[in-house]
Amino acid sequence: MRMRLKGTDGLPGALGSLLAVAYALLPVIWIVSLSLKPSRELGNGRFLPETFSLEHYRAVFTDPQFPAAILNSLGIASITTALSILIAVFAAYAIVRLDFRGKQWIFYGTLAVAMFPQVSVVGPLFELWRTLRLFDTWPGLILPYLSFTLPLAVWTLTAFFREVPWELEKAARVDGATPSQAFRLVILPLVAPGIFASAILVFIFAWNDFLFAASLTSTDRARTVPVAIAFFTGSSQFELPVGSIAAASVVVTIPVIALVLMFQRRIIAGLTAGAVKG
Amino acid sequence: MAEIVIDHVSKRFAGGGWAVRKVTFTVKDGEFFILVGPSGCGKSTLLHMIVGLEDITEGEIRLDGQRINELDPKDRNMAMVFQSYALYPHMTVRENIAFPLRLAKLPRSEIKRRVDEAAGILQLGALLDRKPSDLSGGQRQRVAMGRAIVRRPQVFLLDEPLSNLDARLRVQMRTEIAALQRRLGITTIYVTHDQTEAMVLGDRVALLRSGEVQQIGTPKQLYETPRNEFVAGFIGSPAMNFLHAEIGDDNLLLLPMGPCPLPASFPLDRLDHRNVVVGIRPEHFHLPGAAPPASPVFSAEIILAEWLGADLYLHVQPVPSHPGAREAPLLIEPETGKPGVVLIVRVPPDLRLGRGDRMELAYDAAKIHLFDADTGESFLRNH
Ligand SMILES: Nc1ncnc2c1ncn2[C@@H]1O[C@H](COP(=O)(O)OP(=O)(O)OP(=O)(O)O)[C@@H](O)[C@H]1O
Ligand SMILES: [Mg+2]
Repeated sequence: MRMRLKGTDGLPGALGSLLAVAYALLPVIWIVSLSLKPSRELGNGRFLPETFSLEHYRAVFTDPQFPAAILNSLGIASITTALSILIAVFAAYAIVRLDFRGKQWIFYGTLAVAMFPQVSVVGPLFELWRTLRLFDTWPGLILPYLSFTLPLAVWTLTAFFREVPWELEKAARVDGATPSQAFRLVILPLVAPGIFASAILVFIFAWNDFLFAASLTSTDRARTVPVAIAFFTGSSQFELPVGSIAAASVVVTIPVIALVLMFQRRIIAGLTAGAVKG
Repeated sequence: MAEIVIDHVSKRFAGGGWAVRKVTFTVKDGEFFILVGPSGCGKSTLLHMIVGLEDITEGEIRLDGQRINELDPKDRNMAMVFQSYALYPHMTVRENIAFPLRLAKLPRSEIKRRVDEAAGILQLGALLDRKPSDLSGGQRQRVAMGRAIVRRPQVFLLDEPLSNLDARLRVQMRTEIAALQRRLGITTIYVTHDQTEAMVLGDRVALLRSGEVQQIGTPKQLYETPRNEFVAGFIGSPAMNFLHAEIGDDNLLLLPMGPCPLPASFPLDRLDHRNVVVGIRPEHFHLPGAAPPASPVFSAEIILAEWLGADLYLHVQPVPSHPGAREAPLLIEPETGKPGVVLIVRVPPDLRLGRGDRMELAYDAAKIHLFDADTGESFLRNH
């Protein structure tokens, strides 16, 4: 029964995936191709470059703005991810494991925050950050990123914590573990897939954000890559630096791809199999 | 040395009733003590209080005379096998068994030595590098045992360790656990809802119902002198037959199968003309020829035969034949839904009788039990 279903569903399914992948990848390939064309070929409209050239890559890295922006992006996104996951792990544990008043309220409150339109806070934040001297600083971006990524992380991790057989925590305590040892050595490894999954989501959010970064930064001190690319100027003010933009776009995609490749193998479900009978 | 004293211990869950009520008993050093009772009677709760995973609402638990109510579980040196095995799924069998030793910061070589020793005892040697998900139920159960014995704990607590194994494996593991306990001599409290396990394994048994201890004693004591109807019905398989009866003139017990003179060992003065519940175990029925002399005899119709190879159990309905027998009264066991009285009796397996057949049966009047019809308390015999 199952086999037969698989057989008949297989072909349309494969076609569908192929279509989805092609649809998603075509622009990416186009950008990669653009970034490798020498300047004179940029306007020729061909899909693949005739001669390969790294001149645009050289150009973006000789411009001091771009390396600075990469550093800002890496730092801000990493700190956001670390803080967000740290707080979310404890929040999710508390929501699943502890009984306290207002638990439901917190849970749905975080959801409400996630649905809040980001545009509506940018204006007030701009004013506030200038008064608090947070404008154009790392914390000035990390803080709003935290408030929009935490709900996501808390929700993802809550789902993973709900799957934990809590008798394992008791078993660890009887085996001689302190509460924190039981958490570190037994519970945390079981929710590791959830931690990696939400870490990737949080990192990508912070890495890709344009709205906050464009409004709350003004110089290399905190300007992140998406904004830096938008501010690229060509050799003359009448020329759009297509090649450099393409090269920079390829460069900023690499950390995200590396991250996903690194962690995807750890995001495996069913890690708790075999813990309890039945 | 480890003697555990449970002293008027009660447990109340927030928002719930009393899960354990004023439980008192002492587990002697090296004893194999069984907590048995139906589901939800508070066995696990009591065990969790002993090991320190649940707070004690009232009462005191002492280990070798020291109050341990407030002691953290990690400082009690008790090992526990959980109702689910609670193996750490991200660790191999070796890491699982070594976990308590790792926490105790033992040197590496010592950990390895002890894990190998435990694995040898439990025949886990070939499985040490597997993950729990790659083990069968019986193997997981053994790993859980290994993790418990490797520490050489003072006390061993087992919460229904065999309840998810198939019948054959259960019997095998039961024997192994009993042998292991005897060999290690560790004070053990074993929780089960299976009365057979309780009877076979325990030095002493405490039977719980709704959080209260019904009776504590050796399996033999619980079987032969149950304190009340609940104990009598819980211990023994198939269960004891219960019959409502009245005590008439001349200490005559008026049973559905006919009158029977009360054995003089009962406190006859307290029983005069009372309503009682009579309990007769299936094994105390006999064929008339094989019964002790002067056993009451009655006729019965077979409504079901259960042949188990070594034993034959008949479900029979007494046929009122003797003069003076009352009309068949209501049944006590409501599950069967059959009108009239149904008795389960054990007869020799070679008896060639089947459904619908009539037969003569006798019962050993000296072995009957009497319970107060209102309170269920047993009228114990004077020996
Ligand atoms: N955390 C809890 N909160 C409230 N009530 C509880 C809690 N844990 C157990 N109980 C109640 O306490 C009673 C005893 O539960 P316990 O788990 O000790 O039973 P048990 O004898 O181990 O049963 P089983 O044989 O099914 O394991 C039950 O009525 C149960 O509903
Ligand atoms: Mg239980």
